[in-house]
Parts: sequence; C-alpha cells; structure tokens
Amino acid sequence: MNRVFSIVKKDLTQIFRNRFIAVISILVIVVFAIIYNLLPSKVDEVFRMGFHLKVDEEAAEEYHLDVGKEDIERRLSEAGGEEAEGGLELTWADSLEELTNMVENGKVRAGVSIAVSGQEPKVVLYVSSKTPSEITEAGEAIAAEIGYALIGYALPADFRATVIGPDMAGQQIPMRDKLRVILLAFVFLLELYGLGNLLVEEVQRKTAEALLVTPVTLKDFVSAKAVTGILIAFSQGLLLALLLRAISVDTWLAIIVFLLLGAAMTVGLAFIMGAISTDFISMVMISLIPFIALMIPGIIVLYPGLNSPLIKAIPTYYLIEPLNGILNYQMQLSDYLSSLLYLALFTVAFFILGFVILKRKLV
Amino acid sequence: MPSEAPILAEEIAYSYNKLLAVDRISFHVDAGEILGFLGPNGAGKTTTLKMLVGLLVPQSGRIAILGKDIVKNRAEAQSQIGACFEEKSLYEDMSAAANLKFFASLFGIRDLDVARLLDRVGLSGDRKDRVSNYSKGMKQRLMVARALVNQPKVLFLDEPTDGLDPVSSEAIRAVILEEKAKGVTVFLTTHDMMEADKLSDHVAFISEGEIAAFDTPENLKHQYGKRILKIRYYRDRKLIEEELPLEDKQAGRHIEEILGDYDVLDMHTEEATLEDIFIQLTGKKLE
Repeated sequence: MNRVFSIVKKDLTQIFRNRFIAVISILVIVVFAIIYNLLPSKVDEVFRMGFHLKVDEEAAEEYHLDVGKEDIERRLSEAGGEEAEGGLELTWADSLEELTNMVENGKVRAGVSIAVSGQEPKVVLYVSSKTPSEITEAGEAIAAEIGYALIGYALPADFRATVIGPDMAGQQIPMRDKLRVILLAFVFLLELYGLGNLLVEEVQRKTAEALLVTPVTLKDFVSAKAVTGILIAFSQGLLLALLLRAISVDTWLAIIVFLLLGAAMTVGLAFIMGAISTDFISMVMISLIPFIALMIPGIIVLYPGLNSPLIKAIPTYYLIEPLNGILNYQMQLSDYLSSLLYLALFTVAFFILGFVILKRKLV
Repeated sequence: MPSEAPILAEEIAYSYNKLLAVDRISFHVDAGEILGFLGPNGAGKTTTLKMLVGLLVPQSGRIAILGKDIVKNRAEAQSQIGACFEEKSLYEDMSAAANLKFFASLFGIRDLDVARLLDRVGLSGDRKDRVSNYSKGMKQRLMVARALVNQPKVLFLDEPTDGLDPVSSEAIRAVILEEKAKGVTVFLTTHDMMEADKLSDHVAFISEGEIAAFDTPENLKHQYGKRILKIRYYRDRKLIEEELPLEDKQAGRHIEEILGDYDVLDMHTEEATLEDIFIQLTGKKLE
C-alpha cells in the first residue's frame, strides 16, 4: 500500500509540475464552462413567420375577406396557430420583396405570401436554402393553415401532430443543457491522452522497468496508475460538473456515481491505449478511431432520432445516456442500475486487458 | 555448486519467439565477489541480467538470489538487490535528490542520507538540479547511486561505464570496489575487457547465449594466453624486432645472446588480454 501511495504521490507531483499539462487541463474546463454559459439557457419556441397578403377588392368580396391584420390574426388564432406555448408570431410585410428580404436575412424562419385575386388563391411559402427540412415542413403546414383560415375552406385532411412520450412542448431542453452532457463525457475522453501518456512515458523511458526491480509489483504499478488516473479524471469531471451547474440537491449522488465510474472506465481505456502504444504520437494515432467511436453516443443526445441498437455496444453510451436522463429528464439513479452494471463491467474488462498487455510488455 | 551463493543460476534459458537468447546456462557468484559477465552486443548479457533481477521469467531452469527463488519470492529477493541498467531510466523532470528519495520510499526507507549517497558518486553539488540538465555521465552516476538506496547485498550493473568520460567511469569503478569491500556481491555485464580485468574476481564469457568460459581472469590468461617478450635491437645498424615466447625454454639463451652481442633498444613483456582470449574461444570480437 505504501508503495502504491509513493507512486501516486510521485505521479501527482509530476503532473502538477508539468505546466503544460496543468494549464491545458484547467483551460479545457474553463473553455467548456464558458461555452456552456454563452449558449442560451432557454429554447425559443416561437415560430416567427413573415406574411404578405395581397387581395384585390373583387376577390375580397367573393371570398368575404376582411383584409385587416387584426382580423386575420384572430382567424389564425381561432384556427389553432397558438396552441403551443410561444406559438406563432407573424411579421407583416408590405411587399413581396420585403417578405423575401426578411427570410433571407433570417428575421423570420419562413415567409408566406398569399395572393387572392379573381383566380384561385395562390399560397407560396418562402424558406432560406439553409432552412432545415423539418422547419420547411412546419412552415408548409402553417402556410396551409393560414390559407385555409383566410379563405375559409374546410381542411382536406385532419392535420394534427401527435407527440409520442413526454410532450416537451413549452419545456424543450436548451442546446446548452444537451451540450453539457457531451462536455462532461468529452472531458473524460480528453483525459484518455493524459492518462495514457502517464503509462507510455514510464514504459518508454524504462522507468517502469526500474520500478519493477524494486519490491514494486506490476499490480502495485497498475493500481497506482489507476488511482492517479481516477483521481485526476474524476476531479476534472467533478469540477466541470460544478461549473456547468450539473450538480444539484436532487442529482448529486447519481452524477457523482456516474462521474466516478466514467473516470474509472476512461482510465481502463487509457491503460489499453498506453499499453499498446510505443510513444505519445503512436498513442494519439492509435486512439483516434476509438476516440471518435466513443463520442458517437454524444450525438444521440443532440439528435435522438439517430439512436440505434448498435450504439449500445459503445461503452460511453452507458455514461452519456444516464447523464442525459438525470440532467435533462429528471430521471433517477435507480433508473440506470443496468447502465451502472455495464459501466462497471466495461471498466473491469478494460483494466484486465490493459494489465495483460502491459504484463507481456514489461515482465 | 554452493547453495549459499548469493547469485545462483541453474540451466536458465530464454527465447524471444524463435530467437534463443540464453541457452541453459549455469553459474554462481560467491559472496563479496564481482563477476564480470562479458560478451558482445546481442550475446545474451542483458537477457540474463533481466532474468536475475526478476524482470523476465526464465523459460527453464532456476535462479536463486540470496537463497530465494526469484520467481517465487520475487518481492522478497528484490528488496535486497540493487540494479542499474544501461539505458537511463530516471525521472528527468525531478531532481537527483527527489529521484533517490522516491526510490528509497519504495523500499520503505524514510531516512535516506541523500547527501552522502550523492557525494559518493560526485553529485552532491547538483542534488537540486533537474536530471534533464545532467550530462550522460552524471545520469549514469545517479543511476548507480539509485541502485544503492536500499544498501543492497547484491548489485546488478549493466554496462555501467559504457560510453562515459574517464572521470565518470572512474567514479563508478570506485563505487563498485567500495561495495565489494563491504561484502556486496556484484554481477557486472560489460563488453569492456579492461574494466572486467580490473574489477572482476571471476569472468564469464557469453556468446550466442552460451557460456564459453568461466574462471578468474588470471586462470584464463594462464590457460589460454601466451606471455611473450618483445625485444628491439640493432644488428648491423638495422633495427630488428623479435617476439619470444617466455614459456619456450630456448628463449632464455637467445635473450642472453642478444643482450651480449647487440645494442638493445628496448624490451618488454606482453600478456594476452581477456579480449584475445575471448576471440580465441568464441571466434568473435567484442564490439
């Protein structure tokens, strides 16, 4: 135990003496905290839409249209345009040119032009080329709604959206809170390099060999590196969690448990990376593909639609998914007991694999 | 073979995949003796050393250090040995003193006299400097000092003076002899035959993983070497150089003739070196 403690003390001293590593470690946390705090804390659920209406007098009589803005807004409201919190916000354009400019400049998400003359009413939706398809679809639906509300035709179909699962209308997760989960996982993955380097340097400089001709056993050596690695990774994760306001009275236990296991799993992975690499550069190259793969579960936090059974084969899924649930969906630690088990199993497997590789290399 | 020998190797062998590095060799080193383990690069010296200190497990045979099996009682044996490898394995971002204190702590030593230890290897003035600022010779001297932190009973030194300046080499040789005087048993691998001759009580020649000879340097020279007398003299104003084997009974009479009849410029005896004997026995040069 004393030998393990001596190595841990030496490693921590070396890490904090290395100004580059110390600065980078702190800088990463600070930058992540700044990114988080700069992002908006609320989701703007208002759908801003430009609107241009051109009705000639004959048509107004034919269709019984009162072209006053208040009247149109009232009709839209009656048609259900403001069901969702925030709802629809119309910006009137006096000309078609003004409407297209509003769309181009991003003042509105879409623009609807309705021209009612002697012929059949013409409804055109304007969207920017940068507009995502789902916004375009929403715009089309709203444009149709406006058209029908104005001209008074019955809807050709029952046009309704049904939300499966918890309806997040009015309580959408802000992007920064989704990003918070990813940042927490990312800080661990960045630590892969630092922790792997702890091991690579000892092997490369033959100091590991020098340690192993003292009463230090390979188990002592691995245990010491594990303790140092977990301490560093967990401290960084915890500090970042505090700065990102991820720890509250309700979540502290679950977050700490997952951060601790996440740190342990990262150290296990770092062990494998460090054991199979010959130097820092080779470690960076070797860990590039696993690094990208380990980040994939983060994408499903941003785009839940991309979730697939294959993602469950990626170890970080069992860290990112529970963090997301606990931080953003008020889930409890008890909801993720199986994730805890998987994380623990992955951690043990990584440590065993790293140990075996290291043993072949050193003894 | 004495069972109480501090270093005892019986029929040990080791292969790296298909490459046989050490081929069932046996030897022992008695207490307070220095064994010079000599051979060219790739002969199996470092592999043997790594097995002796417990870094490699012999694929056959047995090793006992201070009566303890190195495989079964590794930590116990390692607590009483000191090892210094050829490659510099120091924590370069730490000072010399910090390096020594750290290694001492691994042996459970808290009251190491760092100043005295560094003084022995001539580094007391540089104790607070970062090791990365040290020269190659200084690093090697620190490596030797590190091998002594636990006051070992057996010392393993792998090419301790290879490529060093004369001052550093001499400082290291002095420490080795001091330790021997204290009764420490030393296993010294080297390809410097002069050094081996100066320091060793016994030498072992290793070539292609096998021990080609094991004896005292004197016995090896006596057994395999030839002592000759080199004499240069003028005969009819012409410089003549002759080599006369001292073992030849006729040589004495011939020397007397030269001394009586000619003007002798100089004469001296020459002994075979360990290197000559190594080449004679193995057909290989030490590089």
